[in-house]
Amino acid sequence: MKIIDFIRGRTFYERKERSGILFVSIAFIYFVTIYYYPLIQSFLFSFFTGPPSQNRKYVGLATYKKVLSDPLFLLSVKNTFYFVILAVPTTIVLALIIATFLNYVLNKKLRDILSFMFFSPLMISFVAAALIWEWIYHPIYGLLNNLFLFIGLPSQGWLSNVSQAMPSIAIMQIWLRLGFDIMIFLSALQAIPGEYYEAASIDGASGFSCFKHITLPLLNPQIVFVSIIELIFGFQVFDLVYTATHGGPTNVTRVIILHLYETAFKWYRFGEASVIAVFFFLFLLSISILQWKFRRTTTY
Amino acid sequence: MRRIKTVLILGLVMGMLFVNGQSLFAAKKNIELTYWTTMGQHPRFNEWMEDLGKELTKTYPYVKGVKIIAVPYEGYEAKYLSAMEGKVGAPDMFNGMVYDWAGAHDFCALMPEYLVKNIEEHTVPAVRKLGIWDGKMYGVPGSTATGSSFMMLYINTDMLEEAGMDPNSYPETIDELLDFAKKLTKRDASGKVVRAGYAIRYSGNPTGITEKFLPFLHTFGGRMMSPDRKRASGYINSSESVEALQFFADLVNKYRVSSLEIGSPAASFGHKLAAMIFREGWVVGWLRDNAPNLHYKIYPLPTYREKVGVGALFTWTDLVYKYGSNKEESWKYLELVWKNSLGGCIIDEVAPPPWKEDLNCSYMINRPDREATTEMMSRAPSPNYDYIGAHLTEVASIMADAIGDSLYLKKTPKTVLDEAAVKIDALLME
Amino acid sequence: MNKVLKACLCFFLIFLALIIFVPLIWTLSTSFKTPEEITSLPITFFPKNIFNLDNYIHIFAYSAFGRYLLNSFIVSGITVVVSLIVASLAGFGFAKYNFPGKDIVFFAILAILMVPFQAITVPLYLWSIRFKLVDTYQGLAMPGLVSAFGIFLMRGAIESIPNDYLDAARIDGASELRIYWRIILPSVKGSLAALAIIKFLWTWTSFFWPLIITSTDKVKVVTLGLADYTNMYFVEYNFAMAASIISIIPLMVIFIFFQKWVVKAMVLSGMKG
Repeated sequence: MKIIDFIRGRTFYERKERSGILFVSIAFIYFVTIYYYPLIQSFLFSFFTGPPSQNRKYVGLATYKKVLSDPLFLLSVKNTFYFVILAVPTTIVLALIIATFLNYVLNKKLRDILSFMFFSPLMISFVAAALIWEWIYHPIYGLLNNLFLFIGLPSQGWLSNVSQAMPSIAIMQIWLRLGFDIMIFLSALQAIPGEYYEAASIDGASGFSCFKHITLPLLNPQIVFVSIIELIFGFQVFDLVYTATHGGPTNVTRVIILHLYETAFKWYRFGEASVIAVFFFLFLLSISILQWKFRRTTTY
Repeated sequence: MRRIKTVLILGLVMGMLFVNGQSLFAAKKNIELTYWTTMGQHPRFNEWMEDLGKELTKTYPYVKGVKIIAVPYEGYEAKYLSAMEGKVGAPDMFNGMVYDWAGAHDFCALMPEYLVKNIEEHTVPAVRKLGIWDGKMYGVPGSTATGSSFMMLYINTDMLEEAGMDPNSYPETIDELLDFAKKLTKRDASGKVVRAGYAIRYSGNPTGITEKFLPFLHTFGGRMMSPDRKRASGYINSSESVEALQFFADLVNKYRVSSLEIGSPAASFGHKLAAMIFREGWVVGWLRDNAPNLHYKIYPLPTYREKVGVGALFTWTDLVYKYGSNKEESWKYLELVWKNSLGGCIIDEVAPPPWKEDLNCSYMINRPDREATTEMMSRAPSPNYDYIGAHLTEVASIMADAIGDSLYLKKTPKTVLDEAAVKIDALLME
Repeated sequence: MNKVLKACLCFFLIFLALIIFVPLIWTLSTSFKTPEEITSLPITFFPKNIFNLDNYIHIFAYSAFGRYLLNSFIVSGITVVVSLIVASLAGFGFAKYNFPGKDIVFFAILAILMVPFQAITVPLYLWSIRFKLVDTYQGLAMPGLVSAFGIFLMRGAIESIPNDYLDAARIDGASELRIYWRIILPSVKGSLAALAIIKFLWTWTSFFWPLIITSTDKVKVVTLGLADYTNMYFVEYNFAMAASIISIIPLMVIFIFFQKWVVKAMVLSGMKG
């Protein structure tokens, strides 16, 4: 059946479905105008040297070639991957462990307090978080270095140290995102009927085996959901890095979106910025499609 | 009847939607000019400017005043660009760099003749370059908080005394700078620098990193590019430039009088973690508020082969938005600010503007940087002014990468500067 | 699960929770210190004077932070209300209807999450100008009004409502909109609450778009107010930390108040993918 049949709505079924289309189209139209239209514009810009307001010429795929062979861009891709590998799996695994343990806490008040504490970083904007951690990482007056000195370890450079800078930022991201994932896992865990575990323990299964064979599979949809969200947020990291290290030292924390921002707003190379944006969007899209397909094949 | 009612109501609603906003033919009344600045950390200077705005009412009775709006520095380029591209919501005047807003974009109004003459009367030619693009003047230099301020040497006199040195002594040459730094550095048991003899700028905004290195580059005899801005090879990687970068990196790695883990120089100086820094005149006000017990003195920059004079890389000037509707009034306001700063801005959280007037006037007499300023202004201006032009931000980024790689011992100065020369040449040719 | 193991788990959790929470306590402590206290060695964890409110007074004196808080509330509130309605409508459409192209459209909406905001900033701003939304609450709320995440959530929650209820209502002659209002919405109260909280949080803590779209104090929000205490030269940590605390407190209050709802909500909704 075609859309046009639905709009004419001759049958009851078609009229009913028409409402569905209507409900969805509000959101859809909104997205098309606000997000897709600019994105398509960006896509078109990537074939020129810039937006129509400036004198521009058609360059076809030349900009694509230039960007994809630019060492700074490739470095930012590498850095972003490094960041995501550091931050995302750690967050998910940690959240899973903490949520599982939290589930065993019977005292509701205690569980609420603990949940609150885990969730609190979410209430902070990225800029504030960057400032708070910048201060904690301060080489001389920061909490961390003074703690280290107190227990006899040498003070570290953290954000000023070339090899520690990215892990330091990854720690910030984990800190910020942990609460969200814990909440999702915890609520899913609480929905699992206790009978499953009772049955398993009657059969003599150990705690760990319960986890592996009951909990994990049942939590699969949440794990996939959380993975997709964390990946998306991870790859899009910007405010944290920009405020805390500005891409340094020596470009080790230069991430893709930072590179995009500088290319567009500091160096005014809009053609290149459009290429980066399009490339980034397609990349994230493919990752999400892959994840989605993976989910389809493993639900029970 | 119902039909007519609906039509009337619809008409009323449409009418309200379209009549919103100023009518085309109304006379100007009760307007408030807007001025955007990224200098939010000088609230008293901004208040002073707002007070001046009220004086504008004498010339233009319909102008209520001027609203100074501080834009957060992070992301300000995106904000300026969006506002000015869209024309609506754009400010009447703004504080920005002329090579961005008049050069890369076309958002600046030409300065009227009367103001150009005024500025020419009171400034040295080099300083005027800050507001000039393509031979035409767009921006008012130096009437803003940091405007054309230039770097000078700050030295902590308490630390001099502690090291057994004369608190009124200061290094006049680069060799003496190294000497002083060695004596003033403090290290902990493991050899790590806990108090830098001379604090280096190694992080943050790339243009800042480059700017803080340039005094060294220039005094060694090097330059970033040719005077006509056509080539960087042969200049940025000349033997003098390589020597300068090598010395800079040696401060951290060989002589160990500097640290890459001590924070930004101005902050470290205020926190008593650094004995000497190069910084502009506005630090005076900040130190007064945040480190009142710090005793320091200001001196001209040390020299080596060449005397480095006045010059800045951040060419903040006051610009007027080309598509605004209050340009005439805006220029008059900027003239007001300029004239009043000539007499000596009473707020010492800012640097004195680069005027030719008597440096013994009442305002300057009490400033700690008076003698240093006099000396610096008597020297030939630094090559910084020649760098102003297209793609300056990107050139500075490339240079900052080179500096970073040298400081962190990733590559040798010769290698990075050669690489930088190639990249900058390509840029300059565009 | 024997008692000893449970106790160990508890302690481990408390330890972790404290580690996560300590940065905020440190921020609170710093906000009560003077600049000199902050930069004295050895550092002290607690401020000399626990209720030294100088930093807070300075912030409220030099900037209209009270106004910023109000603005954040208003913008977040508008966003939450609108996104709840639109997301649940769209979620309903995706969950309980079948029209050609449904899956493609759904995926197209999800793909929105992958668009880097910096890429669409300028065109988005130009849109705002056309509709005279610059420096207004509506302009601030605009990009966040409809949430791809929300639609995803709602679809999952609504899917689990048995179709029989809906068919029964249709047989009784109810219009689709009525079904939405009377049956769907009450059944997913939990998910709605969860979405509301998340949306509120996201809008409250957003920075980049408010930066672009606001110019005056009229609609400035707290995240921008905080950014005023950072600048290109140095960060005044005592003020920045105090401003951070001010921006978090309303959220904490709301969260504590709604915490029961949220957890129950997420449990009830099942959060199916």
